[in-house]
Amino acid sequence: MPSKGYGRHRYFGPEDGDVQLSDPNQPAGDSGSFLAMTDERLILIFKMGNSEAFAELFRRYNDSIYGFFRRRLENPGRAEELSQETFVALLRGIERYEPRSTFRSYLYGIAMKILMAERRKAVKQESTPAGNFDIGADFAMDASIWVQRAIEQLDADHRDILLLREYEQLSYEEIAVLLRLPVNTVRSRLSRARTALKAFLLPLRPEMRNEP
Amino acid sequence: MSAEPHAFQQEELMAYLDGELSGERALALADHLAHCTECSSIAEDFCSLSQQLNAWRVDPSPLVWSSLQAVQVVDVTSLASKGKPAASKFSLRSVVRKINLLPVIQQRWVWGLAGVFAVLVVAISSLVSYMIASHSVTAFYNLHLSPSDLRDVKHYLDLERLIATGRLNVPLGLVAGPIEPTNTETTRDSVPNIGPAPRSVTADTAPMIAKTASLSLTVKDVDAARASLEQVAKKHHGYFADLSTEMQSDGGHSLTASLRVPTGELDPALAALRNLGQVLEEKQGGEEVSQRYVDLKARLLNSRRTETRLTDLLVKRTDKLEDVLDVERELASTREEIERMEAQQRNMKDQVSYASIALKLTEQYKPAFNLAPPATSTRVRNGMVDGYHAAVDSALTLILFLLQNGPTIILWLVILFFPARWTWRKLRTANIPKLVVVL
Repeated sequence: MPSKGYGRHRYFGPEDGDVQLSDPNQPAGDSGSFLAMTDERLILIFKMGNSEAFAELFRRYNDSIYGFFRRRLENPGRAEELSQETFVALLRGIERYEPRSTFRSYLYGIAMKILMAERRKAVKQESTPAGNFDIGADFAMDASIWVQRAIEQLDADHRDILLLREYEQLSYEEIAVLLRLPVNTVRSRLSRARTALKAFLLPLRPEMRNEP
Repeated sequence: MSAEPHAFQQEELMAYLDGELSGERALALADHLAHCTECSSIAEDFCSLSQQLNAWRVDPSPLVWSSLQAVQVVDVTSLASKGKPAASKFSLRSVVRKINLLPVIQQRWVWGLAGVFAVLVVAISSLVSYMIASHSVTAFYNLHLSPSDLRDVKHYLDLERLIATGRLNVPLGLVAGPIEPTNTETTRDSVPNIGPAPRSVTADTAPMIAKTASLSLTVKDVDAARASLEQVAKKHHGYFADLSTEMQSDGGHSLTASLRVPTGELDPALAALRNLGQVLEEKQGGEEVSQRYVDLKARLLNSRRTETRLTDLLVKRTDKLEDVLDVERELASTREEIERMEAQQRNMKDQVSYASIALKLTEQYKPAFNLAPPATSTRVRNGMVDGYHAAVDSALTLILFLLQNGPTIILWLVILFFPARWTWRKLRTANIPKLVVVL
């Protein structure tokens, strides 16, 4: 069986979906031991007053959350602000967190709400490629632009699911909870999104197809 | 995919590659991929797509932990020291969730307290309604609230009827004081006042007693006694309510009379009457009618006030024919009641002011003294008549006897006939000597 997520992200701790509630009364230990702890245990330790646990969580998800906003917003500065707002919201509402779902689902849920609020205020919903499309430019820039342009052509519903799956590496169930959809709907839309994206990316230069 | 049916759909293949497929299904698909080139090709396309998507990379987050700490709004140390949650935003929903009413509702004292509260609410509302109604009645009877202040004529009439039937009690202090009657004839017919007009219904005057007496005498001569009776009545300012005489079977006369004399003259009159003959029987009695008189007076006052208000209402308020008829009807009923009560009042006063003496005079027995005997023919004739009467009476007596007892006699004869005949035949057979034939 292939590892979960054939993308490029890796996870610390147990497999996703296994919400392990360790005894919060156990001594937290030094910061080095935080690396082996699950997200849920770190939250519990943080709720008991250990700020180092939250620092570890911040380290783990800082780039992910920033990437979440960066791929959906045009302005990098705005993406940074919303990332900070996400962690601040997490701090403020930490007491409302209950281990009914994974911490990652909870965190991305906060990020999604902030993103929705931003979209309601913004003129453009998604990030658009900066600059014009230039075939003769650097290859890496071209590939990124190609992918962005292809993703932009997807339907909004399909695009959100594809991004959450491909870049945030959320499971079908986590995506379903986040978007409040049935799991089967998530799977079918993801399948259609990938099929459509494949068609959009087909006109790419042959060199890109084999690019690892 | 090809037109041939595959055991696995593209979605399942995608889910398998994402690690979202269940164990048994995943094993089956893995085995299928080992043999199916088409599905393997599709799987490679999915993997290639994912790799292409990796081309879109973003810069690392410029956000640092120190900047986050600068905007931290929650005191982490306060969370650790007491284990209490941070000051969360107050919301009514959170308060309602925290208040668990179920244990409170299960307590019996809560239900008892609720019941007491409900009873108090009902009692207070009833008391307030009664006070409002009483205030209306009070103001109405003090003439502070004129009929025009009431909602309509019907409400006024309903109020009057409630008071008349006693379902709405008027405070006693309101039914007080003399009132000028609208009909002056009532004052002419009224009996002389026996005392001052009471200010309160519970009058404190002397008791009113209607005295009665009965006297039975034996006199020598009823005619002479009658003349004496008339003198006694005249002397004591009395009068005969009725008088009658009759002849008794023994030839004597008797007299029955009802003599009315002023209450103060009762005793002297009785003493005078006793002297007329021999007293066979005497009785005296008195009935106190004070309370009845007072009640009657109060009701009469109320009715007169009602008459006044109805008359005023008829003049001022009524503009609809239906209302006029209602008021007229009510006014007629009230006046009729006033007249009836006035008659009762007069009668009661009369009973108190005059005592009644029932007299019965009986003449002593005196056989007739006849000097001349009757003639012979008259005596014969009287004998024949008496004989005829005796014969008729005896025949009639026999007939009546047979009619009354005949059916009973016949019934027993029928019952006893056959047993009697059998017994008779037996007796006859026993008495016949037997002829013995010697051969």
